[in-house]
Amino acid sequence: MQLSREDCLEKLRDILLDMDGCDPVAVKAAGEGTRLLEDLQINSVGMLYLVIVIEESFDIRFENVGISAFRTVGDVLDYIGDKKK
Amino acid sequence: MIHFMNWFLKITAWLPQKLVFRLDVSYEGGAKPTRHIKGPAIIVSNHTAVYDYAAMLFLFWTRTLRYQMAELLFRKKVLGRFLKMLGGIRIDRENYDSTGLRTSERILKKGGVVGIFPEGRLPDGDEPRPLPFREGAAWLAITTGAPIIPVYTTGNYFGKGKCPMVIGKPIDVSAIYDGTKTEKENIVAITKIIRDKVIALGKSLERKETVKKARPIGLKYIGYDFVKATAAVAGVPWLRTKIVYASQKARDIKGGGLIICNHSSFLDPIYMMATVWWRRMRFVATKELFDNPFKKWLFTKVFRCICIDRDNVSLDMMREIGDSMKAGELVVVYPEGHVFSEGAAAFKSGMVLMAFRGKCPIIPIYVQRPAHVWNRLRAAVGEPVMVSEGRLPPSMKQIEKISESLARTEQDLAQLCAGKGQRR
Repeated sequence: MQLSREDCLEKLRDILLDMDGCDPVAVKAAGEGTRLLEDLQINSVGMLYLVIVIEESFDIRFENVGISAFRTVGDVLDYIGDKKK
Repeated sequence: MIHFMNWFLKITAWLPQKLVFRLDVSYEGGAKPTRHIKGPAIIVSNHTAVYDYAAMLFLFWTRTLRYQMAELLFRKKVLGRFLKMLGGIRIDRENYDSTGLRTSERILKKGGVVGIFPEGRLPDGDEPRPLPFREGAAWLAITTGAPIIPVYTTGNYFGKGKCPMVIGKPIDVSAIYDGTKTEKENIVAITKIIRDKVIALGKSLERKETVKKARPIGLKYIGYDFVKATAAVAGVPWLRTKIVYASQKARDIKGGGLIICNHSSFLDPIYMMATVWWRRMRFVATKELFDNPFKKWLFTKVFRCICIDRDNVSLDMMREIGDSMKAGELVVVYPEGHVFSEGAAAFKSGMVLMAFRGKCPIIPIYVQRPAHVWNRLRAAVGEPVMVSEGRLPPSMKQIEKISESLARTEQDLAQLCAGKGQRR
């Protein structure tokens, strides 16, 4: 079943909460424009964590891309959306 | 009749199963007594394919196995009759009928062997395996006192290679039965122990496979082996490495793994090759080392280094590290990130995720560079640390804790290297 963008965002919020590395209030309020580094305080290791869990949860592979390509939650959703097409 | 049918099948199908199943049987702890069962026993294994039952018949060929089977198999007239003749025990999952359990109990009390797939059905394609275990095996073991023999099968019956299976040591339920708890609580606890054991057997098998995959000969290693062999002519008498192991377990550097080490000199990779000299290893190196085509060729093709861009970590690089370890290779990373000739810097916790990706342990090593050219190289090797074998990595806080614990281990190894620490 194809997940809507809103469902993906909700799933991403759940992953960020389980990650246990950023402020839960900021995660619950996170939207597409929320910046991963500045607003959610996700460092490079946190980004790697996020990518591994996204690969498992959404059944996709991150290829030919570095972690700096993802600045906002929206960037991550765009990548997931492209991979899911 | 059941015994006759079993033996008839085993004799007539012995050769075909040898060609088709090609079971590669191993035993937990290397012991072999569990295959030739004496007295009553309950065989419990994960369920991967419809052929599991046939494989089990040949795995424990000296005994007549009475397997619990789903009711739907008996609905097919010919198959149902055939399975009945082989001693199949009908389990009615839909109506919660206990007749099958009572039959199993009776067989065990007479000294027979009962087989159970406690998952109750075959898992669907994307379901996490094994499925939760049903509690019949634990109940039978408590009621009859029969030991449980856990088995893990990979289910690769018609695959390209062999089908690895591992038989665990028998579980004596009377030794773990807790008299202060109710029978129901004991059944739940024992079922969990059985499931954990089957999972652990599967993990041990995966680990064994990575050891097998570490190939002694290969075209891609020619340059690496040539340089290492020629360098050893001068390096061995020069360095005369003295290795100290933190414990007996630390000596077990087999299969894939992530070596972490202090970084005090640009010669550290040479010191590492002189420490774990019997294994090939791949170093994770910063991209600055790959800044011209010759160096790029030398480090990637000859030394098979893995390039890391610290400012923008590539996800393909993470995958390459994980895949190397899964293929049985050792990957070396310096978690301090830079060369620190004095003291030690904080460890970067990305190494935990690298080890998680490779499903391999982290092996901490401390190398004390020789103070003078004529001094020996000293190194201390710690016990391998397994990060997580689950589907998802540990949480960020746990990752930080693991990193801190590994940093402390490095300090202990430094003491050991200096001859001040304690060996276990």
